[in-house]
Amino acid sequence: MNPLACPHCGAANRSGSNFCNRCGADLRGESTLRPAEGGGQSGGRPAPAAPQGQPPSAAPLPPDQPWLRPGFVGEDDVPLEPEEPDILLDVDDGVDDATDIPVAPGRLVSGVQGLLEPIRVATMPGEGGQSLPGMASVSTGLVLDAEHLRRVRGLMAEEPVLAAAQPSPVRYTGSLWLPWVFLAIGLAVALPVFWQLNRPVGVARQWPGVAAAFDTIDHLQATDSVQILWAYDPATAGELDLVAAPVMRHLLAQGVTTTIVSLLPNGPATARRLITQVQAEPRRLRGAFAERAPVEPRFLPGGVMVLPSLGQEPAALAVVFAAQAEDVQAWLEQVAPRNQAPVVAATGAGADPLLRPYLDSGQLVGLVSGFDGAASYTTLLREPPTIEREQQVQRQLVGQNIALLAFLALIVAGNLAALVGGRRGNG
Amino acid sequence: MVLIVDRTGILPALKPVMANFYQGLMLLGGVALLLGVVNAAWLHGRRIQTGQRDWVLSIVLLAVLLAVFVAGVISPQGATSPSMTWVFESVVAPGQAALFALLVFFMAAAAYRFLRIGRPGGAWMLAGALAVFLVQWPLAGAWLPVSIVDSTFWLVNQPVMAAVRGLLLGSGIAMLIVGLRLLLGKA
Repeated sequence: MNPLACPHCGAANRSGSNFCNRCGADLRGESTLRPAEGGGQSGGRPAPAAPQGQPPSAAPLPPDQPWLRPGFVGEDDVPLEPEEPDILLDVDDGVDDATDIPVAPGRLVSGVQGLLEPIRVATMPGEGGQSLPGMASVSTGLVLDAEHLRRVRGLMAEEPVLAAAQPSPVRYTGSLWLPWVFLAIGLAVALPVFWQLNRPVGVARQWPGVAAAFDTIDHLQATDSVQILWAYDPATAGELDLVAAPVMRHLLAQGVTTTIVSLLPNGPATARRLITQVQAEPRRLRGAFAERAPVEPRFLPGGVMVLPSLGQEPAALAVVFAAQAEDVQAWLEQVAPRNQAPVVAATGAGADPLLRPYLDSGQLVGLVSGFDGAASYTTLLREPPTIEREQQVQRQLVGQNIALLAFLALIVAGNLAALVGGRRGNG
Repeated sequence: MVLIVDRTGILPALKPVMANFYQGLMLLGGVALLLGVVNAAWLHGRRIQTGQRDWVLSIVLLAVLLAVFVAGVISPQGATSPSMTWVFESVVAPGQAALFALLVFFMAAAAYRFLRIGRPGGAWMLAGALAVFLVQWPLAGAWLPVSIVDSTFWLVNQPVMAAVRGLLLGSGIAMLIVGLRLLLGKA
């Protein structure tokens, strides 16, 4: 089976491919090209005709375009490597390659990835017998074989480099080995934990939305029912448990009826674990925990598609514990418009920027996010602080401070490396 | 089409129909999950049978699959049984947390390599990242001017969210068109 050479980047693709695996260029209409068959054609597209009486090889090459010469290797030129050597080389191994990937011309998903047509880079005047609208057809009298054409297209797709620019005499060779980066960030995260550092603590900022979430839950009656979407699992429980615990503690203290569902297979077990921990805590809230036990968390198979079914159940409030903003957005789109229940979100700090506009627009009535949100909500609960809980919050803040410091240091180091090494100094 | 009509709310009589529809959907999801498990077991059984590379790992996978399955089935408490709870607490939770924790190394490498002023668009990305870093940094909470916090909020709430919603709207319309084309056989 012959590979299909991409007319844009020259990458080899399986025969029958609609789009290039590397650059996404449209390959429909291209024919296969053996590596040995270079001359005269580019991916099945006929080359511009040579002027009469002049052989293609005798076409003069412009002196200011050295990259058109055979064998030219530019400074920035990186030889293209085959992504899959076994498909580049047409080795007859006795097995029909066509059986590897059956290509059905009318298959269902053939057009999906091509929803947006890839931008075709302007190549040679008169290519394919077409010229740009409003432009007269230009004949350069130049004939390029596939290899040269590929090289020219590659150069055109890259950032322009001044031909007169001399290579910098300063060659950056002191690149930072990536494992050093890993080591630095690992130490920044691990040291505060193992050494139990207690500073720098900083100030936990009380973001808008925390107080509103607290007030909404605080006004619930014991007869109200609350829907809870548990959209995180142990992967993100390190942060989310801290955020969910005070909110869950408050909900249980209100004595409301809860319905807990999760779209994640490990979601119910995560919810069960946190609720067990919260129920086991000493009852220091204003009122005692209600005796009513929460409903057993359920796993809903089917993903987001089944979320609208929850919108058919009335509720006084919906609480979404989510690691990602998309889960809150899915609830706001699929469930909230149906049962009109106000929504409170308790999320990780990473989801906060994406969800804050929903708070400002009123689609969310409350937003508790990150360690800051957890600390603020705990303060609002007016629980008598325990030494253990204070130390826990302090450890989180110290860890967050040092990790962010390490990230800032890495960013500065990366920029310094680029400054010293120039554009191509990647460190 | 039934879904679309139901979403418009013009036919309240569709509610019970849709309730059944969603129940069926959940059932399908559960069956799909089971089929996935059976498929994985069959594939790894074949690997062991034919002695393919790393077939020992396939044995481990099947043994663990069988152990967890039996632990869940034989106990009357099902998924809340002590054995299942132990599996979750001692194996699943630490494993998932450890794997997710590796993300910090990728983020560090990305921050080092790509948040650079000289890269195309890098200055914008760097400015955005620094703004969010500073605003969410507890250490900066004491001295960061409120105006910077408000400016970051404004950036996120107005231009950034406008762009995000524009993208969502565009992709939503595109998906709608693709769906219609599929339904009409034009794809």
